[in-house]
Amino acid sequence: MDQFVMESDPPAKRETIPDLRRTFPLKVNGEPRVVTVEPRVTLADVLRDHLGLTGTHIGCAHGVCGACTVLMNGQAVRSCLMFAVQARGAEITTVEGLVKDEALHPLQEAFRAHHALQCGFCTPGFLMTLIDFLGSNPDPTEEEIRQGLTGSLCRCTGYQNIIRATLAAAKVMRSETMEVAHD
Amino acid sequence: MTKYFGARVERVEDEALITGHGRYTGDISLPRMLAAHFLRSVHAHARIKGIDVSKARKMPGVHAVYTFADLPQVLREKPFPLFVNSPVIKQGRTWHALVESEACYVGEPLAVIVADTRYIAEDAAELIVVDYDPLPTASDCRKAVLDGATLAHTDAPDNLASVFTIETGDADGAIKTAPHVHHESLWQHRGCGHAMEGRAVTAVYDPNDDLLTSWSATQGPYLVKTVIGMMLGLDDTKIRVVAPDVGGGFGPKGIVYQEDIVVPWLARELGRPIGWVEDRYEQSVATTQERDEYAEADVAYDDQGKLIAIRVSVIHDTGAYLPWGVITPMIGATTLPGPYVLPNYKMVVTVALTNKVATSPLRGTGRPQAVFTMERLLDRIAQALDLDPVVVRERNMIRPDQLPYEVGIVGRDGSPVTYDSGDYPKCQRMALDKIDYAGFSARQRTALEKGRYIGIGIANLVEATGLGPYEGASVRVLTSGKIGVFTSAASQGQSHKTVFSQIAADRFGTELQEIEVTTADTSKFPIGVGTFASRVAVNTGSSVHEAATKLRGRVLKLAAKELGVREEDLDIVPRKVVLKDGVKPTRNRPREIALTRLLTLSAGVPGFTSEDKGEPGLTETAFFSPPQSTYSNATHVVEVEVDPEIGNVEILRYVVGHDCGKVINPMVVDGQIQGGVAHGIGNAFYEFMDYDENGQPQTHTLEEYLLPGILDVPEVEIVQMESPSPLNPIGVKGAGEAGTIPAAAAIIAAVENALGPFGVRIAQQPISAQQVLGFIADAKKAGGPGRAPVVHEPMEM
Amino acid sequence: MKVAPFSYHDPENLPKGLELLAGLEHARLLAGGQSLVPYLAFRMQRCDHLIDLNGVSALSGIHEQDGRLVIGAMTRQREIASSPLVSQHCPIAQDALHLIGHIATRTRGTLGGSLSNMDPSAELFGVSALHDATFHVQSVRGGRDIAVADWAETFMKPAIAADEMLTSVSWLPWPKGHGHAFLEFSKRHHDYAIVAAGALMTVDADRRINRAAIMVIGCGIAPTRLIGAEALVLGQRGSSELFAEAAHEVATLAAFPDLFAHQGYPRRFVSADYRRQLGLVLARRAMESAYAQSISIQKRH
Repeated sequence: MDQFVMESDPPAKRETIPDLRRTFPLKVNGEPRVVTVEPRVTLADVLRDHLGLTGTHIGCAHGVCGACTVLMNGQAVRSCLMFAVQARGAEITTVEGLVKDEALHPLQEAFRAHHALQCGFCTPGFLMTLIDFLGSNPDPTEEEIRQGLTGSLCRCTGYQNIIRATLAAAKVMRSETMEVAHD
Repeated sequence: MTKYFGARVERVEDEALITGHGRYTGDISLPRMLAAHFLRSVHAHARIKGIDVSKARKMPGVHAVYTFADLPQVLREKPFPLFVNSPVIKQGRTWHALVESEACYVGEPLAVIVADTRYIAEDAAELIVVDYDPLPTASDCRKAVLDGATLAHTDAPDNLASVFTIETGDADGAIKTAPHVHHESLWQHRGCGHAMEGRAVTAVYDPNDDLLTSWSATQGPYLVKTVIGMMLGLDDTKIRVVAPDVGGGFGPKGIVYQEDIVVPWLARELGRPIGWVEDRYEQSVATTQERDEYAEADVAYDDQGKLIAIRVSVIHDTGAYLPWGVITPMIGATTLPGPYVLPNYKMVVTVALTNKVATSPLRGTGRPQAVFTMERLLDRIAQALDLDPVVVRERNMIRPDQLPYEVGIVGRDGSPVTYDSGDYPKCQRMALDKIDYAGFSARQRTALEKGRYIGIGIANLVEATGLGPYEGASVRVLTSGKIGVFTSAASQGQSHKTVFSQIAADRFGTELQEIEVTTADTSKFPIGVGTFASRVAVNTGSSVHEAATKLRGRVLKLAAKELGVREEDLDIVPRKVVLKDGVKPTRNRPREIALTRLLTLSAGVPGFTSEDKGEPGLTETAFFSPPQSTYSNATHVVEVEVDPEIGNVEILRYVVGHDCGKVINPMVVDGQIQGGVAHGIGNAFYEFMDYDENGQPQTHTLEEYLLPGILDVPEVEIVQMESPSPLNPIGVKGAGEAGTIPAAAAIIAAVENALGPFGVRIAQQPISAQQVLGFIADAKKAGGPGRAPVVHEPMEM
Repeated sequence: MKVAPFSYHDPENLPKGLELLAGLEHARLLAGGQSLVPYLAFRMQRCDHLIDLNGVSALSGIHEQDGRLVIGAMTRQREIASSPLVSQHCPIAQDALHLIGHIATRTRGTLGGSLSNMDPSAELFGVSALHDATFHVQSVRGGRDIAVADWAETFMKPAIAADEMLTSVSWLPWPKGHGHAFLEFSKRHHDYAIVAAGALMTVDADRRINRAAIMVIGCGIAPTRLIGAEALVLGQRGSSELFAEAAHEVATLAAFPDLFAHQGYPRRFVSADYRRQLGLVLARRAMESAYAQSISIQKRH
């Protein structure tokens, strides 16, 4: 572990100094929230521990597994690699924000229909990544889906059903878009 | 009625999980909850001369810091129990709740800090000064078994945790007289579980009920409860353990750890709820895993390639402790014969203590190593006699008319290994046809002409599943009119609730959505064993089957009495019992009666004598205890391409032929196989938990310990057949591990086959691209086919 | 794995940021955070002050200037990956970005962060080398340009002072219609590259190479332009034999390092021999691919 300390070790803070904390607003799933935390607290921890949104999971806390992925202003980010204070003024969407008017998002429906989850721990990260991915790739091939999901690890499913679910959801989302276009 | 059994039913678990409303242990938040954090040894072996926690205790936000000396007598005086003991264990070492004076692996917990937040607790941990006296480290299990080796525990006579032999026939004698004998050295390393969710414990003590509740990301809540009772000296009525949603298990979460006991103790001691969540570093160093096995194998065979004898001596690294006894190598030893006739067999296993975290079952649990050994030896026979590897297997395979087949050894479950049902040649043929094995030689020739190296590999498995001793279930009519199923089974993604709902709905005779499954809560069902070794579908499934069937009978009997008709005239539909179409109701009696009404009737009227002399209420309970294991089987056939310039391997096709008896939900079984293969691919190429010569973990992040990603795992083509198990009422066998167990064997056989033109021989797993190039270079130097070069240096991954 | 405490600073402009960097002790700059935050989470690195550059909008953006493509240090990898200007002038950057990290890391990760972190497998450093990049750094004492060949001081450390910050990078574009190929190999698909190679090429009407830029990553602490290889292929028609010979320059790289052994870097299980072999093969393949592409573009003209 020691080999990576790149510089001399400054003394760790001995107290939690209250005035290190910051208060800032952000929007989460459309709701305005105000948070007061130390700047070192990650967005993932704020969502889970301060805002009660435990659907976002922390799998590794070092940005590899993707379980913590949420949307910031519509784009996928690893919430374990952002300090919450960096999200001030931003719009955050978590897995809890996918259900609209009590209806499941097509991705959620497809994940269930295609058995794309087993333990479910990585699932919110996949769902949020896919929202971003399908936003720019509404009609992806299987290979493109694989390339788009390299940043999300799953230990249970072996991925194939996730790909099937994504293809199915993309189809539904395209036809919904067309319906809206025709309205 | 079998509307649901055998159907691809969508899971009842999913609604909560896909909407972010799962409840994993780390999600549980209680008022006034504090965070625990464990300070862990940074040395693999060291005497702890002193721990100064004074500065840590003073940090604002820190509520308490405890070391071994601060623990109560009951926690200090004995180590954890040895969960699966055996007469062959010489040194059944288990850990203490915190290190007393000698740390024996990096990650062993020395102290625990309780603070307002995990952030503060980690800050405080940095202020703790540990006076370590580093000791020599036993880091290589091969060296550890030698006379005079560095001791993993200074108070031990040696590092031999166990030496045992599994045998049938006379392997030594047969080898002496056999026409052909081949020797092989093998090295296998299986790495870590790395479930996406780490371990976690949340505990609270309620003084009003004098009840200690612990939620734990465990595969065995009942075992956790037993150990809490033992270690804290509490009566079992004072303890409740719940496994809520758990994010993957794979074996390591079946062990009861120090944190499982310390965190509940803290909750009682401090009178506040305590939460602890393992981070990925901790999961790398402090959660059990499977690790190294070194084997020297001799196989004796005749001119036809038929097996005469196999003799193996294995050194198995168990780490510093044996929480699960010697189960892993024992299962390996009893699995090696596989679906083949093996008249003479002897495996001698030396289980070595080292200064690394303990090893434990990990998806496959010793069987991958056994299958790899057997399948490499069969390929060696094929190579020596210039036979097709499939022909060698066919010549040795047990025929279906030979079942039930006694292998001649005693299994992990204590009963003779007897394969109950299956058709191994048919399963193998099915898989070979699917991948077009017959056309492969031509494919390979054509590819080679174009300068491409493709290969094919095959591996077979017979797996003991559905182990005892038992599981149980209660099925009852709820006050809502729905049907409640109560069991002990803990789930980490295996879709148990769905599977039990299917069985209960069929047997009771109602719709799937009428079933509510409550499980893995020791206060809701009295007794259970745990989720491991692919045993729950068999044991709990059978219990649900029995209980639901009995309940149907009770309900119909009571309804018949109330409606004044015969039981045969009745049917059950959601929430009620109705007269079948065409049956005339009895005078002054209705055509139907609600289940809730029956429930009320069954409870009797206060003060009045009950007419029904049977049990009150509408609950039926059944326990299923299997007479022995029931044996699944599988064949993996893999086609790969190797890039001989950089050593990279791509999997072109992956086929699994599978037989787990009757299939309750094909969607679930297919998912288990696909997921299992992914893990097997990790074992073949990527997963290596490296330690240096001082026992220092080197791969403790997910950037260093590589899990298979979506580009690494192809679609697995699954062909399923069903040889029902005669050993349980539902004909089911376990299915959770057959995707993993033969995978590395088949993949590496394929790599070796692809590199046939170079004469490469491979007898280790995992293998990296760098090693593949090394194998090619070595084979070239050796001038063609030779004994497989076993690379012993972990650095050359 | 929780980050140790720090004071947080979010300058709204560059001068303020430079002031903070010069004045604060034990301060780190926060760009995309995809590399820094894991180090902080493991407490392998720590700081008393974190200077968040994400609010300094002047540090972001892509534009052309004096015939070069100028990219602000805080420009997101995601933006570079989809930029029409980059597509037009430096398409190999988008080839490389396809292989860099994942969607979520490219959303936050920046060009400047990657170049300042100087991981030996950093693809964008290699892309910069191919395009004869100039790195512009600034401090309270002023600004200066550093040529790409002079950027690396030692393992994971650029040759800049403690109070200097990379503010922009300029790439020299290649003309429209050039062949480009970027290849890498990692232990597992989409991991940190062990070795990567990139090639840019144009050919004349006779299919002879009239311009080539070739580089490898992972054969040293910084990307290496294969100058000898570039000279060798000039004026030649491409072939596997030619490119294999040209790639041979990889093997001659000074004191081919068992790259990280002495650093105790966790990825040290890759041997120098293997790294060399990968360099030879990937350099050759990159040249082959860039050549094939430049031929087919030639054909269309």
